[in-house]
Amino acid sequence: MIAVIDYGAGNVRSVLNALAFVGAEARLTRLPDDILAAEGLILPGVGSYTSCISALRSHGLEAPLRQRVLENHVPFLGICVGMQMLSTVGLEGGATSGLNWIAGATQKIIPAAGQKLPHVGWSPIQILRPHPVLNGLHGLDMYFTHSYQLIPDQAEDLLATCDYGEAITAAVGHGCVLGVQFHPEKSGDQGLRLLENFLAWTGKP
Amino acid sequence: MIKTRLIPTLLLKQGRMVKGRQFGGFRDTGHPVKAAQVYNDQYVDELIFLDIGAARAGTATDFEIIAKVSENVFMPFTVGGGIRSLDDIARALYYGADKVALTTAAVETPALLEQAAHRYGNQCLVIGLDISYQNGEPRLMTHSGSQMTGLDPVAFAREAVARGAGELLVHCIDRDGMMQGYDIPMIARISAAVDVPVIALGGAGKLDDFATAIREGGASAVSASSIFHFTDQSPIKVRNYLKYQGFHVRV
Repeated sequence: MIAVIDYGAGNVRSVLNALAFVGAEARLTRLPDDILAAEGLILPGVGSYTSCISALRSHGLEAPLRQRVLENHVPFLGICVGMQMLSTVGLEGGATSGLNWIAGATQKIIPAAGQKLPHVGWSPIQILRPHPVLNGLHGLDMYFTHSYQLIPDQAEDLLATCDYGEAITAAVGHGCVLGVQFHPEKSGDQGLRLLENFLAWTGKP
Repeated sequence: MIKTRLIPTLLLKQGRMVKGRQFGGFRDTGHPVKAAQVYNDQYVDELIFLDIGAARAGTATDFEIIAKVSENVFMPFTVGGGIRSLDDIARALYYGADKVALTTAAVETPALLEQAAHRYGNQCLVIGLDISYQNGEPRLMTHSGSQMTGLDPVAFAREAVARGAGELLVHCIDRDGMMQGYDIPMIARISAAVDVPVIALGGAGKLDDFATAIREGGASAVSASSIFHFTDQSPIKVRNYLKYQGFHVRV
């Protein structure tokens, strides 16, 4: 059972639809018991770092997630702000402490002159380090919509980038934790492929 | 590098798809769910659904269609037409929309933009600017083109972005459905005035119109409706043409 975390942050219906489409047994839940029993965890997230992390904590979800992922090593996928929250700190309107599962900071993208923000649309991802969940996806277009990026402290945690004047973070990972900035549930066939890869992943990088 | 987007717009009225000219004379153009699936098969970048029945009559937006479409179409959707409150936005997002398009509400209740941007993030907020010319002067229109405001579209565009718009949908009423090209000067003025992506809509009639909107209008995305309903041009042909012209698009 894949637990999709329900903490009031954004469009979970598309994540659930995509998981159903690829044949996953998935459940939208905010119950710690479900998290502690899940074989895989997906954390969606849309909106602001601050309001998402605050909602996650106020629902009492940080502790069971930490236990299931960092102690039990169950595969975890964070999407968009669900990925950004993995960082040590979020720098959107002041400094907010994140989950700190991937050392680094989430900060605003600095656009080149004439470049638009938010970064919206399809962009090919460049995979820097091989990872089972990103297998077969190098150079394929994924859908992004964001103004912030997670910059990891450790180079080996940066798994993929895309080009927006300069390289911006597309995916990060550490152990059984994976985060993607783009939306696999909105990225057509290649996004579904990523979800299939996730379902098959044992959690070892 | 991020690719320029091609986004078909589907106008909805009481569960059917419709299309008109200059926001009037609407004809039935088919079933929206089936059309969405055809567009999906042609790998369009996003879809925009505008419920003009709700926009005009002040009734509730039809979200059932979105729920149906999102079951097996995995690309971003924007839903607009009749969205007037945080509650409407929450429902749109719940039913599968990634973004909401606010046009009348952006004029009548501007505080809604800040509230929505704060709660959901500006990337989910598309502000629609419906523009018509009165004595040569551009004016912002509301209620699906039926009411005129005294507002200048460029100034309003800046204000909408300041309040939280993540994208602007610049829709020229006078060119809508006429298939004589986009309103390039207006698109260019607004694209230059703001830092958010601008989606051009209204007037596409031939393949080169899309190229002009990007090259001269500075649009980050091009949207169209009539050309796909009433001619044999398709999103595939549009994208191949744009690629051939040197633009960065998904093919």
